[in-house]
Amino acid sequence: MSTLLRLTLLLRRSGDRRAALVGAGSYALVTLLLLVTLGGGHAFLQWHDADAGSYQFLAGMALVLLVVPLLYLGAAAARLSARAQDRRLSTLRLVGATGRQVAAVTVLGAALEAGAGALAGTVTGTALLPLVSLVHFRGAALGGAVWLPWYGFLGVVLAVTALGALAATAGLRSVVLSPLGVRTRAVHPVPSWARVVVGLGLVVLGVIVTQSMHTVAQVAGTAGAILSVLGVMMLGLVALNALGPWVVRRWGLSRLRRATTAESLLAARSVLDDPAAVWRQVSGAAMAGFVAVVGGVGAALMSTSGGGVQDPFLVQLGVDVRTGVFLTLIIAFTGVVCTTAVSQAATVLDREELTEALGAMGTPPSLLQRARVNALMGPLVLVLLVAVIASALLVFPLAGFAAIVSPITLLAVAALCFGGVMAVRGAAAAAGRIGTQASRSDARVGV
Amino acid sequence: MFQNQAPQTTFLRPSTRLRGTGLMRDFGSTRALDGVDIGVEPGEALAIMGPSGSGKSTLLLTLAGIELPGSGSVLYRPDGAAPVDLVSMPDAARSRLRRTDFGFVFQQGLLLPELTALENVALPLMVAGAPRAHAEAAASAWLGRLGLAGMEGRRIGELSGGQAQRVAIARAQVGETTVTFADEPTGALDSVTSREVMDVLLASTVGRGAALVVVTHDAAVAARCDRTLTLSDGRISHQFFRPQGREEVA
Repeated sequence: MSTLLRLTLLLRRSGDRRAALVGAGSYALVTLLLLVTLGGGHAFLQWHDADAGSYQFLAGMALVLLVVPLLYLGAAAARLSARAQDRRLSTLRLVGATGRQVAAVTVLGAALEAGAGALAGTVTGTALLPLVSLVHFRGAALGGAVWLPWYGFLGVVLAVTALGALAATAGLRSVVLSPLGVRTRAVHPVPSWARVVVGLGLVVLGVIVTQSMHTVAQVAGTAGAILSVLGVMMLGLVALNALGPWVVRRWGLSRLRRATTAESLLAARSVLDDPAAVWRQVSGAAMAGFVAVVGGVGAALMSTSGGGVQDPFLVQLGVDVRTGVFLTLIIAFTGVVCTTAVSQAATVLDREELTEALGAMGTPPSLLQRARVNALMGPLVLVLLVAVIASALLVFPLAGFAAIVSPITLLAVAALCFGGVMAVRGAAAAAGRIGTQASRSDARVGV
Repeated sequence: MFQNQAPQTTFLRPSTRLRGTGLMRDFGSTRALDGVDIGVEPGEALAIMGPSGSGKSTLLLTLAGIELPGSGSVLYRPDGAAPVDLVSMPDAARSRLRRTDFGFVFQQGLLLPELTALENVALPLMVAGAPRAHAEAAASAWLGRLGLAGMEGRRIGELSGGQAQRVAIARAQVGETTVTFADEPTGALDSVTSREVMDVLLASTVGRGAALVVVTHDAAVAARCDRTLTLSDGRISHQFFRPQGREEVA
């Protein structure tokens, strides 16, 4: 074990600092987002009155929604970590280390990187929590209740470190650590029709539940209706994950048929090469879009009486759901931006030699960069639109009613989504440059 | 069979396609090129040999305008136009020239794994602005010429090493390039496949009047060329001509 640790530290010291910084920075952000989310949940847990349960349930939902994208981010950071140490890891294999030993070094390194990032995220989180304490729920600031107990902070640091190790283990399944270098496995499964059947079945089920909402409210009361809405949300999210890779692949096939330029051909082929990987990068945005519509519509409806007598609890819940939706969108898109930055940097490192060769042949680097960004942005906008339309259908005709009674809420949600998409685009472009600079740091043409 | 001649500056005729003069290049304290003079004629196959670190890859990259020399010039004469100096021209113009006039074949092929064989070959034409249908028609013709008819739709991972290298050769020729630079094009292949790939490479370049510059460790590959330069410590130490022409495979 001590040999592995020494090797890991040696590789870290001599490794590519830029890539390591991107990786550790991602984990720092994961930690920060977790502290903010858990802090909010912790504040909700301090309430013990009759209405507290609804808030605690919603906070739990938000946490569940955010954890999956954060796991994807961890896996992407691990892949970047392996790519950034390409030559060092393959040298270890060359001098006789087994694949398992090299994998252990990578996982240990990822855990160290995640631990360092988690500590940095905790420090930053500590500085930011006073701002979070100013957020209003139920008509008052959350205040000091957002501070987790000391073991909560420790738990987050340990959990993110473990996440780094677990994600690295999962991420390593997609790369081959051979004596001749680290490369991404070339064969990726094609998303099957079974996904479509399952996904569409869930959507139909969701529509049936939504259409029966009036009956549910009559039979089970307001609490039952709220639970049904949350159930529909969960169904929608599972359906999104089932359909996502298949939809991304169909989009790639359609773009391939219509591709007329080198850039569009490369983008379409890049998506078709591994639709599931593209989906993992953009799924956070799809989920955010789903939350935006369902949550936004819910918030808009709860905060208005529709001409009748206002229920003060529902009005307050509507305001708070709106705040929660905004926060969830910001956190979700921050996660997507970070996953994008890390995944794209890993992709650039993955193709370092090929990109240099194509550049030597006269292919403009800007063309490859545009193709790479388009391969991400096309599916991102597509899945966001599909998520928004699908979720609007789920809550139709409530969506139309909400647009009439509270257009500001829906406009704000749309603005947040647009801002998120632009931030992802910026991250994809910037990460390409980081990756390129990182690859140049130890590239050298043979004499 | 070979004539051994002293190093000299030759091929300075008006027809010379590519000429490097006084090429110097240092990497830190290592001198990779030490005053190399070299010319390449249209339809000529030139092999560059030498031990590791002798500067042969640097020379190839410098002649192709990928690396810039510390001093010296690289003159290239396009068809029907005045010579241009690759060293002094802007980077964008040099890239354009590499795209339109030069072809490249590397040891690992360096093909895009997500593209089909046809798309890989069509890519340079599409990058240059050709319509996809035209680019793919030209690519298909080249693949057929190199014995890969029927394999247009295969991904690179579905091809053998020799087939992948033929795709790389087709990609280098699809723009009817005037000079092809090949860096150890048979380095990853067995001897039989290596001979087949050299057949294809020579036929598709010098066979249509284009020049071929090959960096190789393999004497059998060099023997297939019109001329062999041997580099040592960044200088041309030997030069061999084959007056009877290239060795043909029995």
